[in-house]
Amino acid sequence: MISFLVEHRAELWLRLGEHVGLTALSVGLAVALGVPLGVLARRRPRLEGLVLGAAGILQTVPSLAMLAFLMVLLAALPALPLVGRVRSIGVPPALIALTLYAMLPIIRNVVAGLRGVPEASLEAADGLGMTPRQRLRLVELPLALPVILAGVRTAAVIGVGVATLSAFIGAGGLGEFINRGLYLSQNRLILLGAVPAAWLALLLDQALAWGEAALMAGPAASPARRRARNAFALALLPALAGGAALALAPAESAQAALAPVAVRAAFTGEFIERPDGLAGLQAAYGLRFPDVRDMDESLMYRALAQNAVDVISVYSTDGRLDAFGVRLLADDKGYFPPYEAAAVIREDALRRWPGAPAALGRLSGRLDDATMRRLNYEVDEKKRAPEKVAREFLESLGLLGRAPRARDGRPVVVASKAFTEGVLLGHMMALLLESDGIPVKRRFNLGGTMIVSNALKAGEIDAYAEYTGTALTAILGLPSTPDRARAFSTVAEAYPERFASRWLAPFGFNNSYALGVRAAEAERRGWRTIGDLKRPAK
Amino acid sequence: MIELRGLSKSYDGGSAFAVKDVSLTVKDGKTLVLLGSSGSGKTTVLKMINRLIEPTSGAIAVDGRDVRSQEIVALRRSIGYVFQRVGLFPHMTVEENVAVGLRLLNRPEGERLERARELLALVELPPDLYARRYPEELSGGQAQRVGVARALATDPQYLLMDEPFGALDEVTRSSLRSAIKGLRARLGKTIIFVTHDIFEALDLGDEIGVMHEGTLLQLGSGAELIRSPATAFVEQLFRKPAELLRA
Repeated sequence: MISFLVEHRAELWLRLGEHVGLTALSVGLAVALGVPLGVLARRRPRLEGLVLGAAGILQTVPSLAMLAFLMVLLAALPALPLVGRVRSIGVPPALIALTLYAMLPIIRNVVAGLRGVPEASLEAADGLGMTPRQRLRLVELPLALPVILAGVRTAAVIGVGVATLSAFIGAGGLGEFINRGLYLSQNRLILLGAVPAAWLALLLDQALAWGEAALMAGPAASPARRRARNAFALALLPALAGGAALALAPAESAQAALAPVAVRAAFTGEFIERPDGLAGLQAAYGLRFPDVRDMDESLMYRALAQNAVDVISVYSTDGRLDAFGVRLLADDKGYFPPYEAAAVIREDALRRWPGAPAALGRLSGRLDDATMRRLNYEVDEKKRAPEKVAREFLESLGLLGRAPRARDGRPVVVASKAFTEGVLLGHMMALLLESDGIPVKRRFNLGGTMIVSNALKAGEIDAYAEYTGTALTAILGLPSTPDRARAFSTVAEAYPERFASRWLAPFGFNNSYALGVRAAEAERRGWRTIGDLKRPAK
Repeated sequence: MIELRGLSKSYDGGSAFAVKDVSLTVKDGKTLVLLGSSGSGKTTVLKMINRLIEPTSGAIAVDGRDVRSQEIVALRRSIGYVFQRVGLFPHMTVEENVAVGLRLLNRPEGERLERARELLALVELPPDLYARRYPEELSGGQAQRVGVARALATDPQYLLMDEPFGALDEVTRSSLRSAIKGLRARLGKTIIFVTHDIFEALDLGDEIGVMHEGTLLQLGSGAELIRSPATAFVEQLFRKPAELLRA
């Protein structure tokens, strides 16, 4: 645990800084926009419903949907005067989303605070001959301040929470750890993001409460309190500015010795963290990606197509490759280990149902890369139900019999990881077993590699589709090998003892990690292999 | 001089009147008391003078100039106003409250605070004791003294006082009354004072205007009203002081 912390120390500080910066900047923006809007809404009763309604609706938009929507919107935006093109990934959309979320509590509390100003004070202000502006500045805002500050506190705490999601679009922050931890089911990584985030929320709330007390003029405003007030104001500004600077500063890389490539990359959290992912790739090719964003897979293709990034990490059988015009770069150094998919099944299930290997074996060698890509495309892009796609495919090969009545006995629990291909393979396995009369219980979309393999070990599930490369490096912790046959024989030998399970013959396709680029860009810059990325930009 | 001519106020387009056809004149340096029960329209009259309420018809002239021709903020700053609910700003100290009118005129802080202390002394609140307090640390009577000081800060020629002692006990009221009389003697302000207390009216008013259901029933000195009431209502109202006077 200690070495884990030490190892991630530098990044923890970086992510914490990004997180504080994103939150502070967005809350600052929300105050700058929300206070005038709240004042305006209070002045014009007809506007009040509109403004509060709009802010309320924005609040109900799921965070990830909001981020995805902003990405599309910013990409479609023409270059603006002064600012130029706004980047559609990274900090700008995250900042906009966080600001929008922070606005509701602020606007609402501005309106409520102004509404709470005593009528007698307002009458006195008018009677003394204050202009509307003077009345606002000298009377209304100061008296509404406690309520407004409570709104800012709420906004800041919400902001810390929502900011964890901005890691999905490469804006950094503590969500990076949470993301990667979720992909890899590494609880330590999740905690490394979640604990500081929770701690940050509490700290921020407390700091603002303290600031609130210091700012409050009142009978108890002793000289000490006035000093605290000034000190708070003095301390807050540099803290905000520092946080903002951190959020905008480019990340330092430890691997300065490797040749940096002039491309913008977006990789999944899993790819960045996995031992057979980014770090090994950079070492194997002697190159370095100076501009890497951690991005959710669902957003990555769009980011590439919109020219927001130049290279992404993909699976070679992903159905979206063709749809988005993605060219795969050849792995000429044979860095990526083979990821042949095969059914893994527990031996006690085999004892109960000796016919299972024969049933599943009918699929062995029948799925090549192109076929798998096509099936994935049916689900990912055409939005068809995985079960239907799986059944159609099996029927087209004549692999499904007339499905006899299931025999009695404990069913085989067939599981899948939570991504399209895994689910498709899970359905195929289940359908094949059932067509031989073997009862099946489905437990699909279980999560990442670690969750599923732990469930297999514990006997909670009996069978699922796994990849040789994943099992070799991520599960067994062995060095990877470019040799397909050796990869398979290694895992097949290790599983009976480690997992009381057996690997059946591979389905036939190799769903390896690969780097994808825009086909047109590859043409223009002459990229064929991963090593070609090192060529200077023309 | 403040002149009201045919002043009326209706909130429902003319079927009912909060104030109906009120005409009167207050000469410089004099105090007019508007006397009436709640709902008689006296506060509405007062608020129309500095345009906190706009009249439905009629005209108001201050120093011979129609108030509607004046810039509303400038008009209000030229008239001191003491509110029934006091309306001290709870987030400001006593001295900041008193000097707020000067702040609106962008006077330097030194001058503002000096003037605030001077005025606090004038309303018999020792500045050393009270200047730095917040309104919630004051008694009702003290708060209203601050209210009076605030109205005097910019040294306006006119003072409008809306039942300023309404919520106070009799001992405090009489001490405030004598404070007001002292101020008037020293500063020579022209005052319109609204009250429902007949003894307060007799004590303070050079002239008293009796209001009932929006109309001005009678205008005259206290002695005139007691001696020759114009209506049964006025007679009824002044019966008690008349008896006391005879006794």
